[in-house]
Amino acid sequence: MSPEGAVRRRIDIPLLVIGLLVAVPLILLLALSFGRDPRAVPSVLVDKQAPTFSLRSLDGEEVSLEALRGKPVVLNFWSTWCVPCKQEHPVLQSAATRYDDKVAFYGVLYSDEPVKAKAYLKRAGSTYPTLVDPAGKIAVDYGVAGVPETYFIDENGVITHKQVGPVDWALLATLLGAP
Amino acid sequence: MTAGRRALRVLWILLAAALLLGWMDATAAGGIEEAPAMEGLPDDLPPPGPPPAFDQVESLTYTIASGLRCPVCQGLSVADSPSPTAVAMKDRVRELVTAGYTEDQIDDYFVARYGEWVLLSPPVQGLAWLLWLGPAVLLGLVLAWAVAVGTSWRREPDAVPLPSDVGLIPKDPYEEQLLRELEDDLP
Repeated sequence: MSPEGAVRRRIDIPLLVIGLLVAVPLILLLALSFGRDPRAVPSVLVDKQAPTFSLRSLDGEEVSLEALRGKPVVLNFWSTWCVPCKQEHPVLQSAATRYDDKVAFYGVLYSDEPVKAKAYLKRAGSTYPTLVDPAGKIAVDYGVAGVPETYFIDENGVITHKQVGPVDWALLATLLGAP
Repeated sequence: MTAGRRALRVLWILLAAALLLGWMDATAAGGIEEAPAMEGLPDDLPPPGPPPAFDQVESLTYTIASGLRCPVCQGLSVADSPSPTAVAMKDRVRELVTAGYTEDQIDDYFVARYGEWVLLSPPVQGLAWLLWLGPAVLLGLVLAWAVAVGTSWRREPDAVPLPSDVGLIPKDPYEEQLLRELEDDLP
């Protein structure tokens, strides 16, 4: 093989520049966009102060978030017409008993009638209070899109995690530690 | 005469004092009355401005809700969706409008909770500028290129020497013969 035999490639500089100008931004844009889930509703409230509320429970007890300061709070938005809520119901109920002295569990009824919720809880069991949120005001304050959604609030009233969809034991153990 | 004037002056002073006291009383009462109106409003919002006229509340609510994306729908605004979430959001918009918040403040309230995603027409910033200006810039470039190419096509190809005339290609005998015969045929 002689050096004269080597193929000398001729590079068209302007064409290369134009090609790169088109290709590089396109690849970057696709690389950035494909990683995203178009259905995911991003949560912007994490690491922010949890919106305060003062609501009445199904039993008529007045509950305000400020009064719960000093203890982590698990706030679960649910309704009786929601199937995944029924799926996570036993997990949350037994978790509330196990984390009894460490964490305060509260349910918030979302777009449902208190009568139906009372009947359901009588059947399925209830170990923590469910609060009634008339007109979904507090749900909107928390940026709730649908049920179930669960907010983990630390002892300083800061939201540490928002769970969209049912809660399971693995998640509770990760976020709250061993019961 | 002087006694009468003095009496009149005293009367004036008393009247002014009464008016002043009355005004202070009214403002104090107003201040106390306004406070409970804030109840139930989110705690991260600044104090609202003057509330809109009663007959404007619904149209303002509709305008603002039309610009918010319903989180549980596919491509519907909060104003157009009958879903519970959208209804709750619309109720919140109406409440904030009634309290005297502006469209920008209400948009900020929802962005703080649902993210920029919630706005159907997000503000143009960062990469979004590329989306808005990119096509216009590309169109401009293509037009400029087309104009440049178009004008060069129109130019008369006069005084362009043939390759053979310049001496780039050696004339072969057949070509020479052909050209000679063609010249002979011309009138």
